[in-house]
Amino acid sequence: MGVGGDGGTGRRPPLIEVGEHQNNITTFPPLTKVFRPFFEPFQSLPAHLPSGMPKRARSTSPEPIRLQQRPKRVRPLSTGPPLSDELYLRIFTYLEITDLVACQLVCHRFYRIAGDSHVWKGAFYNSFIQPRLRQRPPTLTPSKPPDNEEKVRSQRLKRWLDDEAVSHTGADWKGLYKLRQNWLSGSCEVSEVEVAREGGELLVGLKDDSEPGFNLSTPLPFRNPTTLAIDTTSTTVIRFAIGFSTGSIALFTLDPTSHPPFTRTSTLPPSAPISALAYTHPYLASLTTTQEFTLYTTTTPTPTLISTLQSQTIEPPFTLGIREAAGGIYISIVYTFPLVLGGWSVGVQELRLSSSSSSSEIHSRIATSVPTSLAATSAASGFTSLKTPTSSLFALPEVLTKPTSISYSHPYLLLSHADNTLTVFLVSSIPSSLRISPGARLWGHTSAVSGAQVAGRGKAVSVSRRGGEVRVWELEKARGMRSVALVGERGGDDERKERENCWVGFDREQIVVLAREGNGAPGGGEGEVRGGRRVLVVYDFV
Amino acid sequence: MATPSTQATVKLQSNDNVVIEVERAIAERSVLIKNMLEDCGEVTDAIPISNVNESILRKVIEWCEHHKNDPVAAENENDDSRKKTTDIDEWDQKFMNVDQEMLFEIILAANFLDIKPLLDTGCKTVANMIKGKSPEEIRKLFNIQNDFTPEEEEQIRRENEWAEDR
Repeated sequence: MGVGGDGGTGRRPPLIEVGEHQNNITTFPPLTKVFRPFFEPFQSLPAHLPSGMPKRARSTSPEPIRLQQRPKRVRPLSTGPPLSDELYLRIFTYLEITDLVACQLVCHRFYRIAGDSHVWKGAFYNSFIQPRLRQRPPTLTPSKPPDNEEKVRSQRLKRWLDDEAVSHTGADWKGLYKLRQNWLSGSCEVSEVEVAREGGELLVGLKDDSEPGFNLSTPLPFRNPTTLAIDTTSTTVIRFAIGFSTGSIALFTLDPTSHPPFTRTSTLPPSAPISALAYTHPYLASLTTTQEFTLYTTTTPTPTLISTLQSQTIEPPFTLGIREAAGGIYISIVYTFPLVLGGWSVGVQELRLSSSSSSSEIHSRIATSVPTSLAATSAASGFTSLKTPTSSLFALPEVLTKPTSISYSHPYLLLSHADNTLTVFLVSSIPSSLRISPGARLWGHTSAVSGAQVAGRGKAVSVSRRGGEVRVWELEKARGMRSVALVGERGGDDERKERENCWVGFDREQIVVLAREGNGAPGGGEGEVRGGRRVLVVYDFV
Repeated sequence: MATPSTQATVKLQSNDNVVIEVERAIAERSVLIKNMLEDCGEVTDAIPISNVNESILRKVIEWCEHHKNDPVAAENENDDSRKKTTDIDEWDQKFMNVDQEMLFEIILAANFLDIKPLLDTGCKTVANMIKGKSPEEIRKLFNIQNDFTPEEEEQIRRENEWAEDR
């Protein structure tokens, strides 16, 4: 192995031969096999080694290496200290983001190592995951002391990783860090897409999906659609349902790889105008303006009716939600109702479809944010025709102004108001009870809030009716329910057309706002302008 | 860790042929040596530590002696979910207060001998040297040549812009 070969230089050789170093270092080939990347646990020697220290001794040092006279200061090591990439990686995991960024500017090799996903993964954990692990999850019920702290911790860790969609390996951690950082600071790039110059109602849906290739916009030739629901269970195709003012509902599958991409899978006959839809394959829930709730399974060609309920007392805005949890499928109807003394309140009716029986056993229960005795109508008891063990939590009456929108993503229930505020409730749904927490007011907007959307991990986005005021909220209690206004870099155009923001939605990477321009007529009538130019304003955080 | 030990000391031989006799418990701070001893049982010959020279080996043994009674860290600690602190205790700080060349050799030896706490201390020491420095200062510190073109530098700056206004 030419041990004496480097005698002239006398410098002690490093362990590993790395790229550019070749000309000024010597390697010890047999030793490299003992070297392992540090992120593998140091548990035992490689399988072939334990058979013997003697064996190793034979192979590595038949003759000892002589480097007694180590001369002081043989410089320069123009490519830096003689450490392997793995050791640099280990060092860099102790650095803050600003230092990592500085290291990336040092040289090509540092650029590569300091940009390594492993380093950023650690930074991501430290900055975003670790602080949450020390906190309790949002809950209304006094949580029992965990019998196994470590287990609970790892379960929560896993859940949050799922939330972040980062549990899969091979993630671009630096990219994820940047995305997260941009959301937190509200920095994004703003662009606009014109989606219609004129015409009738326009519905927008957003599916949280990183799949490329779904970037197509095809108008579907229908009259008077009123609501749109997208199923999020499939990653290969998009299933969605459209409700119409005639009361019919059409179900579609969008598969960008097929021609034509849209397939109409089934249609439901007309009834009353549809005002809310929820679609989680294979369940479809609809609510009409006449307060009729219907639940289907989406069998083809005709969906099968599971149940119909009727109410007299609720008022829009409504929203429906379907989620799967322990014990079956939960369908939530969220509605508002007026109070005797004026003002409004919010209620949730939850239907549970036990997954055990195919005979569709349905349990129903209701919770409201104020006692139903204060309701203006005989009972804000939601939908009848089923036995409903009603449980109301007595709390200080939370009198609200009529909400402009409702968004529900368990356990968060978010209402937007015309008085510049939002209200957030936490819904607790455990086998023994369904409860709505007292609401918390969210201040921050400086004009009427026209739309808001919340996602399960407590992230919410709200938009004002006029102007470009968009706020991002963190609704986790432990984190102080803070919000940040967007500081987007807007492309040059300064034309401040009078715009009305009609809808807001977001996914992991962007916020989309549907805005309607007042037909370009300045000072146009206050009346709702149907049609007109519609644009999607996209706030991109990547 | 209480291996029924018949052997009180072991001999370690540096790559410059100096044999140093140390308590077995101290030598076993090195997972490499510990595993060797476990696999081979009685070892009377000197164990060649084939790429660590005498002065570094003595330095490493000094560290092991001082940390002889430290609890052995849990093996399964998840590297990522552990909060990384760069705090170093006072004795270790003094211990690491050596010239750069020796610091790197200690790191290399700790890595080779698989002494994780020493390796961590060494890496933290280097990390602390880097902290708060500009790219140019880091280059000076480690004598690294800037191999970027101005265009490349500009591009990286732009790429990392988001991280700077924190």
